[in-house]
Amino acid sequence: MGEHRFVVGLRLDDPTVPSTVDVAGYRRAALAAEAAGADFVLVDDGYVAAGRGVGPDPVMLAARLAAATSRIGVVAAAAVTYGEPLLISSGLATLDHLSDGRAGWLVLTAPTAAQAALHGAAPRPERELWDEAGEVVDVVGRLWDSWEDGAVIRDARTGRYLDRRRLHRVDYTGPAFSIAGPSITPRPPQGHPVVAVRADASGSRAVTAHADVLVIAVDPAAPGDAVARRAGQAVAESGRPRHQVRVLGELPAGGTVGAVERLAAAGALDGVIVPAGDDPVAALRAALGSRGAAAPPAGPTLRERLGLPRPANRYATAPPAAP
Amino acid sequence: MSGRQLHLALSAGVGGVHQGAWRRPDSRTEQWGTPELVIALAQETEAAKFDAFFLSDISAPNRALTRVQAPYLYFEPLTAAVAIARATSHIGVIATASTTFHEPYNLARQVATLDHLSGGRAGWNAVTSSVGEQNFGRRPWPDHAGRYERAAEFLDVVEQLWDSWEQDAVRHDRAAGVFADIDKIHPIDHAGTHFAVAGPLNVRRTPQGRPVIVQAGSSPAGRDLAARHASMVFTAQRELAEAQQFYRDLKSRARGHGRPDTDVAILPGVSPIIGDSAADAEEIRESLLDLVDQPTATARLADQLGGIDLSDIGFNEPIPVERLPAAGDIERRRSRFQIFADLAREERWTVRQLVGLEVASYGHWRLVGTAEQVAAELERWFLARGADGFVLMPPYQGALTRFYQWVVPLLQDRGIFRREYEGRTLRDHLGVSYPANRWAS
Repeated sequence: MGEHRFVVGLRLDDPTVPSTVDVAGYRRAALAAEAAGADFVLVDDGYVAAGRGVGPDPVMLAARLAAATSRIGVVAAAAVTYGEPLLISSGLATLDHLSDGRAGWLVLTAPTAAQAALHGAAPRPERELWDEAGEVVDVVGRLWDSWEDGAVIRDARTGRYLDRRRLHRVDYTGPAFSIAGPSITPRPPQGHPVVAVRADASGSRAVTAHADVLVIAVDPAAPGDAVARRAGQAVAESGRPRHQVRVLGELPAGGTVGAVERLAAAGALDGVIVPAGDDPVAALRAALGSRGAAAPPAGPTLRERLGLPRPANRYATAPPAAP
Repeated sequence: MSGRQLHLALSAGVGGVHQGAWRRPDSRTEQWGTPELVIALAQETEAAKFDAFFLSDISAPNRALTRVQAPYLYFEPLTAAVAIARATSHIGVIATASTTFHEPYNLARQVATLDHLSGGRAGWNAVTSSVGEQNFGRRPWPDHAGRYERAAEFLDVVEQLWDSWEQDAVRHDRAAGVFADIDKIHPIDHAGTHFAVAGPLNVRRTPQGRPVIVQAGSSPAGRDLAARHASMVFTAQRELAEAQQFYRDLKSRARGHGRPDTDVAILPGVSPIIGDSAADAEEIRESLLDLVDQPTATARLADQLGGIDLSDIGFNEPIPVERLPAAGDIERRRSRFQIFADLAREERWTVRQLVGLEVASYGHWRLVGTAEQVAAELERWFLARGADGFVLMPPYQGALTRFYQWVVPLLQDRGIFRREYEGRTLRDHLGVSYPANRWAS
């Protein structure tokens, strides 16, 4: 690790960021993170109206933050357990269009009994939820691909609006659901918004196999080589090629400064996610200081910031028509 | 401003609802698929002082149709609504979402989020969805009655969730260390036929108390739903007498639920073609039809008529009456079927005439004339209590521009439409009351 820029993200769910839809509080934190040079903000989701779970819909809040900022990535948590794959895919595609390619998705399940009670469901084993989540992430990716780049022709003379050959059904039938497609939303600017998942959860392999970013919890006191081993293990378990995935360490609140410096110096991780805490700017400065004289990002999208390729479209058959 | 005021909302797709609209030189088709176009449309609509801007939803794109027509909207409406709310300051933002395909808890949270992010300008157009089940494969697809039954319970649950935080539940008491008074945050413990939802919601009570609910179904089941829950009704009416009948019926149903007439605004859709002269308007209407792909448009008409076969009927021939199914056999968009079937059966309209109506306005009221004629007709319906206002569905971009530039000032001169916004929320614009919280003592 270390051939890429050291990635720094700010998590906005911390209870010290004023909650219950204090939009201004979230916006200030996002603007501060952008000004400090962070790569993304993460709107996490506690989901249930208790403790940290109070808060607005993360994808919609991320859309608001995207409108207030111009460079920083906006990563929204979205739980798949009680969500519809089509709505998740079009919501995140819309966020990517609104932000000109700065969108990311932290895939969550909703495993608790309290969450199930909001949907009239019985709690299910976490393993089962992750398997279903893997299915959803797979299908969401297909829906993002269901419109090829360049599908829109707009030939007013012949009245042909769209090249129908470049619009694809996904025709998925699986254990949890079936879906015909295509999506309602054209392919996102990034091809696929960046897909992230917390890789520590048991059973999350079903999702890490599709993810661009693996998030692992990091104990600030842990030695660098132990963290590096855990990062390598997460990549190996995902089955993803090392160069196509980034491993970010998620730090708990408090005492992050020294930890980030140490982990960055040890080259144990591709980057970190720091909690906003009492002082998001201070937390970020420490993390960003560890980046050293890194090269600027290759372009304005979140993928480019992370050094990740724009995915090819699985349905693409013909080269795009000449402009 | 005094007296009863007209309400206007825009449902425009991408600058025009007519199938041929994008091929006209005045269309903004090159901007299709960009957030900038949707935002610009909303800002122009706000400059015209409209009550609200609709974001429609398609659950599934029609591939055959998309070949020849710009899809109506292409973003997830609730997420796109956030961008519009941020780019505007007064206009109501109404996002369409299906009670058949969403989960009530998730949707209650999303619409509440929009109400907070917009400062009280959120509306939810609650539709039951007539198509799209192929993209939502988690549960079996309910029939017409089943969809409305689910919708009724869905709306009830969502309203309970919106009430689950009392207005003064959040205390912010720094000294005492009390963030919220949990006695004022209520579980809903709903256990019904379709849903079991514990609650409470994870978002506090919103600026409008409850965001505005819009209902668009005109069948008896849809009317009942609207009478109980909706503050705005979007309906398709083509004749004043029928519109008046619908208007009276819905207001009377609302009274039956203890709601005053003024709490439900009834807005038929209207699709105007506005010319320099009446002859110019007629010419535009004809030229738009020339831009339509006949086979696709005929197939779409056949779909509105319950999926009958029209392939062997000439474009200028009427539809054989025996091919029309009975309304009771129609599972989707029953009210709309009735409009086309009546014209085919009673008026003996040709395929061309019916296609002309379908591609222009999906069966909504068409107005063709000068700006003065259009303004006079709208006022006539308004004063005769066929409407409290209208959902403008401009057939093409030029009609939208002319409505803003020519028709709106005429309505203002007649003293029936605002020159400036007087309130801040969508409820303020519509003149509907703020709901009491069922928990408030």
